[in-house]
Amino acid sequence: MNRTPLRPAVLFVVVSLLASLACGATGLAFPRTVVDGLGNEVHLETPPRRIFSTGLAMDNMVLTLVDPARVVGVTRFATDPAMGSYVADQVAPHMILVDALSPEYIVAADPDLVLVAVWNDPDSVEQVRRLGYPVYTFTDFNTVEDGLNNLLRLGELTGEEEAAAALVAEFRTRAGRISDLIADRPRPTVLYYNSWGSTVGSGTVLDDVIRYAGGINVVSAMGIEGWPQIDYELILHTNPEVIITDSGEAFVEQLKGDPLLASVAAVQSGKVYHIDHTDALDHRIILAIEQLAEVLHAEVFAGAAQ
Amino acid sequence: MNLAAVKQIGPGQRRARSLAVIALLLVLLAASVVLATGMGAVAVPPWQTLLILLNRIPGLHFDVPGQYEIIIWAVRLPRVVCALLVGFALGISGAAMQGFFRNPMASPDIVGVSAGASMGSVLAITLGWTLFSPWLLPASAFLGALLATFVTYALATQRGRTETATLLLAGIAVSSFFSSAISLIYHFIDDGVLRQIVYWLMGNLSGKRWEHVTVLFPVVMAGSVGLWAFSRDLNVMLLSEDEASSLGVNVERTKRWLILFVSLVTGAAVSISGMIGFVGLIVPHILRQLVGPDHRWLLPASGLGGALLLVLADLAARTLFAPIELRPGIVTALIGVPFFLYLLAKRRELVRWN
Repeated sequence: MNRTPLRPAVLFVVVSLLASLACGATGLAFPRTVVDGLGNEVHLETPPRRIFSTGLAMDNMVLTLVDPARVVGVTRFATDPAMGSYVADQVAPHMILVDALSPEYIVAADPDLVLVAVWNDPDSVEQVRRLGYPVYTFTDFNTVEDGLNNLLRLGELTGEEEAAAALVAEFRTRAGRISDLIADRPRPTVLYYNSWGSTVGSGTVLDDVIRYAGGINVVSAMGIEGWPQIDYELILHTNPEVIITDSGEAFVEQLKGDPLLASVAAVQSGKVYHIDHTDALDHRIILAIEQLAEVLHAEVFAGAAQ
Repeated sequence: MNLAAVKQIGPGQRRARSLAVIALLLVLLAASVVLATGMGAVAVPPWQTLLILLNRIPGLHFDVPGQYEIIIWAVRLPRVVCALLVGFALGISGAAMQGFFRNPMASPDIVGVSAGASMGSVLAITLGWTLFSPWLLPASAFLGALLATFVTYALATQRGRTETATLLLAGIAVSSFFSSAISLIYHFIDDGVLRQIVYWLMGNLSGKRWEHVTVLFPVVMAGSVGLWAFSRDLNVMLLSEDEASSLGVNVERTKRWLILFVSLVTGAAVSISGMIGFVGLIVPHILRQLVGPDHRWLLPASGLGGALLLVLADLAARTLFAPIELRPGIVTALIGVPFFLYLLAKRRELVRWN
């Protein structure tokens, strides 16, 4: 196994934070104005010290990039690794936990930066903005590059651009390593299918994951976009060599044992896999890419580990 | 039931009782507004709440923490007032529709008005009109409501006569059509906008500001006064349309005005809060028990009853499982339906018609 854990990244963040605190350089380029995905300008006199995050995707990023002492509120999902939190150990007692963006809690926490996602209730966002709190809206979560870009933006907002750049660089190094290892390998056809009956086409994070891991997404190859629901006919028609899911091992067994799918190449060869970390919306998506690459190209990874 | 009976319910005991019920509703509503403003995710001491409200009276000034003032005045009170107005709108239009269709099943949800208003609102959100003016969303909802009601009404009207059963059937069909049209829109829009719309459709009062009150208040009041102006006609129409005509009521004209006002009031409510069910169906039935079928009393009483129910439902939605916020529609259904069924079981003749 040729996988580096994420620890060095965290270490780097801590070191750079300490370094910047030590020389008082966090405010190097402040005041600064950052424009969010909706075109709204967020003006920051100094690096924000009271950050309120109202979505799990932002919780994961902000608690990785900045000292938890600078975060005054996150979602309750941030406390639960089972919900997709990678930062449960960074959630501190002083933080207000919310279910979603709720103006009352924002006022109570009196933040100097509020992070929202485009799907937050627009009326609540508008209210918070009118009350005078700087609001930054993240709008794009559709590709791996979107996630990396969001991380860089958050670095810019918080004055932690170096830490953000380091995490992105680490992603690229690890993705590059996979790309080198599988350069000469044939690309198996892959289909994603989950227990909701949905697959992924182009313009999705998982479509990128399949490509980075050295596979061909049969669904996007057909020109299908987004997250459509499909029926078994499409699975039979595309006859993928590998089927992946993130609905758990029990669902894997269910697919393998389904008589309707018995003729599908992936089922015949037993190449149906559960992949973790598929809902990571930042640099951590590398964990899903690595896991998938290892099952798609087991031979080269077995060799590389020795 | 004859004409004499209708005349009987004007003066006398019925009137005193109706007045008492309306007075009681007003007191309960005032108390529930104070309670709902005082309680919420962030604990603000009751006396501070009181001082903040008193501060609004010119000439008075008490020192209160600025944060409390923002929470009470800018966040919580407009939300409570919106709940009140939306509840009032749904209650009064429900009562008017049940009278107008002479059918206990009628409510804005069932005859297609709500679905039409939703369709209008979803279009406004999808096309980004909401960014230009706060009035475009209610205007679009009103037009959608009007269109849906008009189509329903036209389908069911032949040679100047409207068959009630056909009208309800047409209403349900039109409702389904608009709901499906909304679902169709889902497939062609951005994920972000889609989530906003789903969020909004599920019914929600979070983030309401004084601006929303400014839009909602005049429309709901104008529409309600309009409905109330037709309450005598509604009373007479309860008999039968033929008798009403013979008594000098221009039935078709009255129906057209009622459709217009109901669309106005429901459209405004739906555009602010999304779909909140059961208020318009249940509240008028409960109040018909208390004030009787005379629309002069039933309409305002149903409005106040709807307002009371929604203010309390929204309070429960905000506080029961904080920080998780429930949809007020869930609470109105979970509280309203069992209470309604209790009344139904206690008095089988709950749907006492006239």
